[in-house]
Amino acid sequence: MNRLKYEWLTFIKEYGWKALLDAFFGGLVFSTIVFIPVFVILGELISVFMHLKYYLFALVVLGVMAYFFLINKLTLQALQMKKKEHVSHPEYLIRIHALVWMGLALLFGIIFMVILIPILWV
Amino acid sequence: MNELTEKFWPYIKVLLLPYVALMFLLLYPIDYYIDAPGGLAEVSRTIDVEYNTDKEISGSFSTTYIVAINRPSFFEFIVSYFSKYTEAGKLTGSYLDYSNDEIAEISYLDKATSIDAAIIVAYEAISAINPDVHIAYDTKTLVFGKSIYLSFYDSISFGDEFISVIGDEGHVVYPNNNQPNPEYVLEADTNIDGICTTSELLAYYCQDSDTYAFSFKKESGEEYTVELTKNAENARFGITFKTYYLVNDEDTTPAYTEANSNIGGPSGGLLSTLYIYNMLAEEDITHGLKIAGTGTILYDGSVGYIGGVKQKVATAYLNHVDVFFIPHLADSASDNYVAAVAACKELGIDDYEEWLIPVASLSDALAYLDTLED
Repeated sequence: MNRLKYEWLTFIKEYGWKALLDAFFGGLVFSTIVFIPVFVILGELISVFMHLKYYLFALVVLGVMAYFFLINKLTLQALQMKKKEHVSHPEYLIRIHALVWMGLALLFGIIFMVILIPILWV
Repeated sequence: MNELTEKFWPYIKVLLLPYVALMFLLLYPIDYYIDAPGGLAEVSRTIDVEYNTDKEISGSFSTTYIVAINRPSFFEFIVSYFSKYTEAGKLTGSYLDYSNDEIAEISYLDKATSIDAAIIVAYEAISAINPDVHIAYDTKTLVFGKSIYLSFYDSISFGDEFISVIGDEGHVVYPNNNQPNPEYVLEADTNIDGICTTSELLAYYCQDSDTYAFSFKKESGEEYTVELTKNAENARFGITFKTYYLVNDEDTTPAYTEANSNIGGPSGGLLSTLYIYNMLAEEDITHGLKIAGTGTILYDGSVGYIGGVKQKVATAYLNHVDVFFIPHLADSASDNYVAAVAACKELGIDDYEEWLIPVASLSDALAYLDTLED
């Protein structure tokens, strides 16, 4: 935890909020462009193959995790392109950030499949 | 952002057109329909009868729903070919003129009225042997169809109750179920059996003019009047009515509650009736079995045909039901049971004789369950 705090402070001191938000926005936009068709395809597959909904929702969860991974991956690339030589470790912070969001996606996905799907399909 | 745009610009230039083409395939709707297997919905989750609450029910009754996609995208249409369970075809008839939202409205109207029919039939069946059970219902004529040439199309909703129309010479015409003067029903009657439909009444009393004042009542109770004009080509108003028996909750005992459902259509009528019957009966008729089925229920207790037989049979098979009731009213190829047997053979389902049970009425289903042992 101490290392995380140290890396974050070093990172924000070196890059600043503006560069971070700009890189994150870029990652979000490009990842969304890539994943819109993926999610539409999965949604349409679910509507046609409703009897396989649990398997397909599992794919949706994996898709959301991949989406979060790509956002973070592109954010990191943008940050690295902004400063080719840097003293902080954005890859470390981004890895943690990606793992947290992917973990949350997995958690909410499981809750959705176990609790919400049986309630919704009445 | 700029760094990423600069880096990916060559890819963006190359992939832009394929991307737009892909999105077109994914989003552009076509005038077709797809029927695909859906699932089972336990009736106990939508209807609850406050009677015999201590009674232990060991099995379950489930309605069977399919996924009906109206106006799918090209992509959905193409992938549907890769499943042996799905069926695709061109939209025809009035469904071609209706929007997807309107088709859904009709479907939910069908569902709501089929539950009322199920309650009426089950309560009437039980009230013959149990005086605690009493059913009361009203007869209402509701808007069931609208043509594109109907005046005030957006003001009139599916399910609105038809109250009256001021016909020729100021004659107030009520729906056939609410006639204050039976004599003029007979006057207008064109049928040999003495039954006059609302459409026949309208045709008889609305001849001299093109425009007549129709009164309707919305579900909220709000009444409204609109001037409907006949279509110049076919001299019709462009509205279809259907007469329903709707349960009068206040005078019905025991009380029941209905929960909202996102599944529409009337095909759960028979299974809803069986479930309600079981709630009211002394004995548990499920025998611990997973009972599912399909078929509309008519007010006289007979069962009516449904669509999407192949998908419903596939749904039952995939969900491993113990019993699946299906309408069997004739031996023709269009009969639901005959079609279901053909579907089982096509899908390679060999053990269908063990669970696919043909029925023509509620009594048939009850008689079959009566033969089962715990």
